[in-house]
Amino acid sequence: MTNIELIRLIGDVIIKIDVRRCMLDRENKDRKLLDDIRDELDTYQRKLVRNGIEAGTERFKEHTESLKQVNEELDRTSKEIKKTAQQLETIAKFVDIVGKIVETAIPVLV
Amino acid sequence: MSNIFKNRKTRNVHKLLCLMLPTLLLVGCVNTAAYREPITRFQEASAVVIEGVRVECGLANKRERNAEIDRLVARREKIYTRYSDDKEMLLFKEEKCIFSGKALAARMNALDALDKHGRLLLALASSDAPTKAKDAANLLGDAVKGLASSLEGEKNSAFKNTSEGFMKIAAEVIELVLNGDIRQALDRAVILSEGDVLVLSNLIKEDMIRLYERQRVVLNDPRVSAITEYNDEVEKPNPSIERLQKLASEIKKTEDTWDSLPLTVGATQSAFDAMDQAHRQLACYAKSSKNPQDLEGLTEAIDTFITRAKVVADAIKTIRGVKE
Repeated sequence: MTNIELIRLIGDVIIKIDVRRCMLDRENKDRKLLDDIRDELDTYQRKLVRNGIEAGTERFKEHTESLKQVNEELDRTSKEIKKTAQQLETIAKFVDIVGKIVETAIPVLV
Repeated sequence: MSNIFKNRKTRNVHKLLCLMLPTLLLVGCVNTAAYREPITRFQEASAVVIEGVRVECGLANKRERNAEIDRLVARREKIYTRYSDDKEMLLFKEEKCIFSGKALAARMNALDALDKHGRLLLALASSDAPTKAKDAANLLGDAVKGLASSLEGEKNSAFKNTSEGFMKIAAEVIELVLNGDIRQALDRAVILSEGDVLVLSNLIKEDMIRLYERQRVVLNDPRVSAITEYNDEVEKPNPSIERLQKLASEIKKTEDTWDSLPLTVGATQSAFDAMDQAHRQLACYAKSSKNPQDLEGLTEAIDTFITRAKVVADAIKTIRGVKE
């Protein structure tokens, strides 16, 4: 996965979260949780766009492979509205992996 | 007697030169004349596309700032100001921006160098080349110095290598122009720049893709906020129809902004692809024996580039007409 593909994947998941957010009232607890998750992923994506990232490392490849699997799981659970709790868990996993990629990555100066 | 003979011989040589010189000049002019139209069109299209990138890069930080303000409004959160090292009041940390001051300067200077390169080719291909060419080469040299200084301290900057490439072009062209070899200067400027223009173009395209992906996310949050406000009002026991209409107008506005997303960013990427192809064809022509058939591929590539540059020009007009 390239730097751009990672940025795009994070964007795709943020949009999925946004679709979910629209279905919930502002004061709903799941909505508030999704708002916070969205902000976190938004910050990570901005960091990747701003700093660039060394995409060739083994660690990067491992993390992005995990990310693809989690994204597939998210696609499965998002089709069923009743699986909100499971979806939230999957999203949390996704954010965790993205965080690891961004916090431990070697920035490429552009 | 020998003096008369010598003078007659000298007069004959002079006559011969006077007859040959226009022909020689004409041959030189025909070669740069064939270049003139494609290079003029290439430079005009390049200027538009480069301006498109300048607009996008210039707006990137502003959009992030506005998105952050909208986010705080939607979350009903406070704005906390801070005091910067430059003794200014800032709303947000620099990390909230897409481009740091240095990164933005590097991009603007790289675009300036690309623009000056196009103008150099135009100056070399124009009918009064010797006068303008040296000045244009010096301007390219200055633009490259600006780029190099904005990249000081950036060891691994992807833009750094292209500045060295353009510097070599400026230096070699100046030397050829001073020696009066305009046609060679033009060929060399095109051929030498082939690699650097492609590298720079790829860097800019990647930037545009990243900005596009970022914009998808930035522009989606206001849509969510507008829809949430509307749905909140609908859920009330007696929703106000006036308020619903007002909120619906907000939704339409955010949707219009969302729809305009692919405009400049998408159009610029496509235009840079066409620019690459056009420049490659220019380089092929520079290396060729410059027969009329050598010009066909170049003309076609330039036509495609012009078409795509027009889309960028329209997108810039739209963006400037929309309040950011």
